[in-house]
Amino acid sequence: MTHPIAVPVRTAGMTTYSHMRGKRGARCALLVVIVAVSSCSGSTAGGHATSPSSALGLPDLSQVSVDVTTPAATDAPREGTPAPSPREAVDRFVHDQLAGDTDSSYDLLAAVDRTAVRSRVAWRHAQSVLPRVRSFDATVNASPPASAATATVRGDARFEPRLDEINGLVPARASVTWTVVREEGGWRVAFSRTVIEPIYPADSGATESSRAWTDAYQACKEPPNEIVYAAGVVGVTGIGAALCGSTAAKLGAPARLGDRPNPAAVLAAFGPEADRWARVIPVSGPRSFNLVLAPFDDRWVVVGVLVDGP
Amino acid sequence: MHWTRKRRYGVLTGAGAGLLSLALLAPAGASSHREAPLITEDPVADNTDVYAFVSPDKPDTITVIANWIPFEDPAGGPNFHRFGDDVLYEINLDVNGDANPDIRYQFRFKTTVKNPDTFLYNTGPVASLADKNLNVVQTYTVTEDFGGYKQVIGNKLTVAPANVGPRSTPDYEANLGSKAVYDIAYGQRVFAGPRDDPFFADLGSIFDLAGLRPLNQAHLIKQPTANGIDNLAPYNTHSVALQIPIAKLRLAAGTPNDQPDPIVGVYSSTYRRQTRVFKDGNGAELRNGGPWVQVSRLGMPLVNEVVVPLGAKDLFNASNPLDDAQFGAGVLNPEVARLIPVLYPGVTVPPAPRNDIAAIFLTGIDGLNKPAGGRASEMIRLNTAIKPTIADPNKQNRMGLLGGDRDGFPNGRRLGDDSVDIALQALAGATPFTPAFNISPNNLLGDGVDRNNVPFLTRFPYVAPPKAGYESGK
Repeated sequence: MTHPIAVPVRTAGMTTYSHMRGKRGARCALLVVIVAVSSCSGSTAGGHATSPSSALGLPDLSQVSVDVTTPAATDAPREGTPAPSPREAVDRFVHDQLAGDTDSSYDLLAAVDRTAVRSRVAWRHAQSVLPRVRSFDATVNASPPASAATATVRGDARFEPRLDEINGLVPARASVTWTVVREEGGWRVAFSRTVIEPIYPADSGATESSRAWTDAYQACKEPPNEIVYAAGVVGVTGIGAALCGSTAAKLGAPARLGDRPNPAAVLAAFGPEADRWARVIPVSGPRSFNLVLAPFDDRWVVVGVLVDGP
Repeated sequence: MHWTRKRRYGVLTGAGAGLLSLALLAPAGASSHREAPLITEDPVADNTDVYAFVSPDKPDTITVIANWIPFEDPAGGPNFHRFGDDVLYEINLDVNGDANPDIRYQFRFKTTVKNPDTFLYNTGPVASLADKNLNVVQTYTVTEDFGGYKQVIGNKLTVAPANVGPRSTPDYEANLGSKAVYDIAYGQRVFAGPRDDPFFADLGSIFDLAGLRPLNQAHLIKQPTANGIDNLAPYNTHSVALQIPIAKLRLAAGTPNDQPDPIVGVYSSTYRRQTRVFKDGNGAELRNGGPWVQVSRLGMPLVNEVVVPLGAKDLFNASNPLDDAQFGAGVLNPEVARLIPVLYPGVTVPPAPRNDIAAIFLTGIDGLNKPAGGRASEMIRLNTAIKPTIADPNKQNRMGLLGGDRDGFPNGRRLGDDSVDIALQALAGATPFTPAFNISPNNLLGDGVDRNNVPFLTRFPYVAPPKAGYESGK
């Protein structure tokens, strides 16, 4: 990576630099002052010294106008798309989402949500981060006054359960309150204002899964897949092996994650919501530690192994 | 959509974060080592470089390499550098030019400790990724979001560990580095771990009022002429490399396999949770809260580093390519191009508006890598129909397209492309796109650092193995 000295040479009011690359460049450096730089082109890995435009078939862009300053617009909904009632807005929205018809569900989004989403394409792509509704049964559906700008539709929903380290937890069951808003003479779904109250499996299930986990390790086996988070448990993972051959592991009562020290590994993996849905089962015996479990579908799965401290 | 508990926790979570993140994910350089004020304070989340090229030894695939953590000292133990467990890393592909990513690859890392009762990173020599002596192990998942359908395509994959030294990690690349390459779903391959930082540049001189050591005597403020210094040479970085079949890109674009010149836009992005607090004032109880927020993004080299003005750099990192029109004016009249004639008297550059620069950095170049009907946005654009000129990445023409390699930067970016010199010359107008300025001295501008200090691998992941901590400082 040696570089010859650059020699600025002033010719006809313009400074020419003889900085070139390597030995070949050094020869070129002399030539650049004397003859056309084009004679130096074609150096292997060196600086280019002439226009390869003809060889490359590239255009002269200096006069081509390119639009780089026009902001992107938000896609408008198709005409006549608001639903005639709050209930129908929700029903149609859920139906379209279930059917994968994101163009139609986009048309039913309230303006505030369309502004956030920006485009039909983005809405389609967003499906991957949204909870997938499997069913929704409205239980409360009061007719709003004629002057009302918003209304709510409540009911029970089933979702495709999900647990990952990007979007966190989607429960299998929940009570849902949809907010709908009056727009363009009809009703649209204010999706971002919809409230979900998750319904988790009973806490006793967390104790059962923890027992299965410790029993397996005490028997010097791996725990069953169905009670362990598929993408890998976080925390101090080597601790399970310390139970091998023992029978002394004892389980404590379920506790909240926030009530235990050092939950950072679980929170980092699953997000702050884990503070709400996770259950912690203290384990004492050959080693004392805490199993952290998540409600997945109709059961609890171990997602973390934490120690209280050194 | 808000998630709550019956007892009124009332916090936006889960899918609520999902929708909110639409706005945030949707609003989604060189290198961009320390390119913007905020991200400078958060190196684990700092994208440093993105590369995208047709794989030289497997031309039916492309390879995308995204790097994070700038200026990573290999000796930084016992808590060696690693990906952030609380960071969401993404590689995004736009296959139809609309500035919306059609395929997102998301990476989440987690660190586990085998024995918490020692401070040691490794408790003896480490001969394999599963070696019991490797006490601190980082694993990761790869999630593919393909046009709105999300799927985990790689699970419990092990990150290549730190290259500690000859006692701890003997035969590093054979035992550990090469073993961290995984074949995952749909014919794809992935690697994650420390690598030699492939970016090469004389940053010390460039950031000293655009100094170019070989041209020091031509600068407005003269210094003795000298060879360029590769300031990145001592450092590692953390790479994520992906190899993706071109047929998959065409599938995403909805174009049949026999259709020519599919162009893909590539950029990386990084997200953190909205808040970080120390619970109850306890410095050992760090808690992250809120939805993911984009804190860094990177496509083309040098855009945010030297094109976007200081006051807008953090905005650029937090914004989405779809909204890059807001930076259009800066690209049409780039500051560096205006500075060149001032700092190097006698050099003349094309006048604004610099449509040539906008084409190179924002739209793609007609006839080369501009997607039909594409929207201006800052991404690396790669024409996957142009096959590699040469298989050995160490023998490619460092000047890329300007050197005659149609498969080189700014058509994609290969590891050996000298993006600093190419960008400098492009800003000076020394390209085929502005022939009147493609003259000396414009086409001789350069920092004097022409190649990486160590050779690249000739096989995936191509990036050179990381320097060992034991060797650091030599």
